[in-house]
Amino acid sequence: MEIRNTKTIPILIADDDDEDRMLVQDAIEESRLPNPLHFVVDGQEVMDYLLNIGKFSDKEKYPAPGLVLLDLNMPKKDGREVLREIKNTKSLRSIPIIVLTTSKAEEDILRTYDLGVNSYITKPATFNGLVEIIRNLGKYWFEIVSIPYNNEDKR
Amino acid sequence: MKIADIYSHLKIGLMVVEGSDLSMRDANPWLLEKIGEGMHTLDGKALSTIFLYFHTPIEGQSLISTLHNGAKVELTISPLPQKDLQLITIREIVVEALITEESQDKEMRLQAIINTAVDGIISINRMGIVEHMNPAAAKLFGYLPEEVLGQNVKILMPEPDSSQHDTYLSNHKQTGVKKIIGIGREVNARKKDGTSFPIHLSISEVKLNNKIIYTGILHDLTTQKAAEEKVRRYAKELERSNLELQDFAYVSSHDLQEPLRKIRAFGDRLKREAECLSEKGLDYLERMINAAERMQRLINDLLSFSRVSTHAKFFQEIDLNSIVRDVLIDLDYAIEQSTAVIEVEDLPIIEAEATQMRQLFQNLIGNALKFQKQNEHPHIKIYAEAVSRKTYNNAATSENLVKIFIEDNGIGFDEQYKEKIFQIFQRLEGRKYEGSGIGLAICKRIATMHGGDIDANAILDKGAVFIVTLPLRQAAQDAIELPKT
Repeated sequence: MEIRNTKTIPILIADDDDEDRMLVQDAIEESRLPNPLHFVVDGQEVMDYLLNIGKFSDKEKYPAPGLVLLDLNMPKKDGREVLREIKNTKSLRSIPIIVLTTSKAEEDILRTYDLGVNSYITKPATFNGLVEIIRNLGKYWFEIVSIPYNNEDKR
Repeated sequence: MKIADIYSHLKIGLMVVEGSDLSMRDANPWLLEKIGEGMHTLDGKALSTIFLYFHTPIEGQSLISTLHNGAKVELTISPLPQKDLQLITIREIVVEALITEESQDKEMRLQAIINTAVDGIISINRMGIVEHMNPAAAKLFGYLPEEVLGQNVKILMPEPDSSQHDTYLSNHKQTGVKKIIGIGREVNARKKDGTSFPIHLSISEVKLNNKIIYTGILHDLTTQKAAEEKVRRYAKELERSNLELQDFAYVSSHDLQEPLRKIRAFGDRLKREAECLSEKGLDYLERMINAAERMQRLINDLLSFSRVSTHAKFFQEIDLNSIVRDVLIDLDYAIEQSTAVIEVEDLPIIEAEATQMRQLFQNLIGNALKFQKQNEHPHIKIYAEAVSRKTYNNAATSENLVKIFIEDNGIGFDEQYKEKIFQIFQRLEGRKYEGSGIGLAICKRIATMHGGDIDANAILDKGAVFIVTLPLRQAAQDAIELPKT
C-alpha cells in the first residue's frame, strides 16, 4: 500500500480580504502545516485556478489542490456560487471543499451543506483559535481521513 | 212617525238610475246636497260622472268609490219593479276614512323611510324589471328614477353579470336555489356613466298579491374598498421595508464586524509579541481587544433585535415548560457558578414562535442570574397565572391571556426607571454588569409581536419580577399547522 505523502498536497485558499489571507497564512505557519499554499481573491479566480484558465493556465505553477478553503462572501462570484459550480463539474466535484467563513448564520450552514460542501467552519474570534482549527484541519484531512488526490493530472 | 215620513231626513243617498248607462233619474235631497247639483242638471247623465273613480256596481256586491268632493262612499245596487230601473244606495264611509288615514299615515311613514334611506333600495319583478327605486339608489347610479323604472335591472350591472342576470333569475325560478337571496354578497355595479363600483348587495324575496318581488338593498363600498386598499398597500410597503431593513441589518452587521475581527485578531497576535510591551501597554491592549469584543456583541444583539419583527410569523403549539427546561440546560454553567436555585411551576401551552420564546426566556432568566446580589444565593421563581381580558373594538387575537412571572431576589432596580430598562441600550448599572442593554428591548419586541406585553416590578436591593403577558392563541391566519415533532 502506497503511503501517501500528504505533505506535498497543495491547498487552495480563497478569500477576498487580504488581511484574512495573511492571518490564515500565519495560522497555517504557526500550526506547522507543511503543505504548499495557493491564494485566490474571488470566486472567478477559484474556477479559473481549478480549470487552469487565464492567468492560471500553467499547471505546474498552479497545480490541482487536494483541499480548498473557501470563504463565502466574496465579490464577483461568491463562495456559494463557486461551490455549486464545483460540485456540478465532473472533474472537480470530488475535491473536498471546506468553507471557512465569518458567517455563523443557520441559513448559510444549511445551504452550503445542501450544495455539497464537505465541511463548514466558522472562523473563530481569536488568532489562537484559528491556529487550533488549522492544526485540527491538517490532522483530520491529511492524517485521519483519506482524500481523493493523486499526483497525476486528472483534469 | 212612520218610515214614509223620514224621507227628507235620510242621511243616506238614494238614486234611481236607468238603463245600462245607469243614467240618473231621481235622487234624494241628501244625495243631491252631497253631489252639489240639482236634478235638473243631473237628469239623464251617467252615474259615473258624479264619481272620481267609478266601476259599475254589481248586484249583491258593495262598491267603494269616491265622489268629486272627495267623500268616500259605499254603493250597492238593487233592482226596482219597473224594468230598466235600478236603485243605487249610497252610504258615506266615515269610519273607514279614519282607518284609511291611519294606513295612509303608515304608508307615508314607510315611504318616507324608504325615500330617506342612505342605502339604495331597488325592487324588481320576476322578469328583472325595475319596479321601484329609492332616491338613494338613483343617486348611487347617477340616474333619475324614471330612467330606470321599467328597465331591466341588468343595466345597473357590469359584465359579465349584466348578460348573465337573466340566467341567474331563471335558474332561481327553476331550481329555487338561493345564490345571493337572503345571503348578501359584495358585487360590482355599473353607474350611468359606465364606471364600475363595489357594493354590498343583499336581496330578499317576497310574494305580494300573487306576484314575486325581489328587493335589493345596496350599500356603497367605494370608500371602504379604497380604505382597505390603502391599508393593504401600506402593509405591503411596511413588509417590504422590513425585509429591506433586515437585509440591510444582516449585511451591515457583517461588514461592521469585519474591522472588529481584525482588531481582535491582530490584538491577539500583538499580545504574543508582548516582550516589547510594558505592563501598562499590555493593559491598554487588553482593553482595546475587550472594547472590540463588546462592539461585536452589540452588533450581534442589534441584529437579533431587528430580526424579531421579521421572523415572528410561524406560530405553533409551544409547551413553555420544555422551553424553560431547554433554556435552563443552556444556562447550566451559569446556574452552577452562581449556585442559583430555580423553581419552575407548571407553565401553559400557548401558540407562539419557538425560537423567540426561547430567546425571551433566555434573556429574562439570564438577567435574573446576572443581576444577583453579592452575598446571596440567587433564588429564581418562574410561574404563571391565567388572565381573562374582554376585547371590544380591537382585533385582538384572543380573550384569554396568560401572565408569566420571572421573579428573582437580585439587585432589583428603582421603579422610576421602569420604562427605561425596556429601551434599547439603556443600562441602569452601566458597564458594571456584562451585556449590551438590548436583552429587555428584545423581550419587549417579542412580547408585542405575539400580541402581548412585558412589565416589571422591583424593589431596589430586594429583587425584581418580570411579567410577560401572552395570548394563548394567535390570529387564525398566522398560525401554521406544523407536524408535531
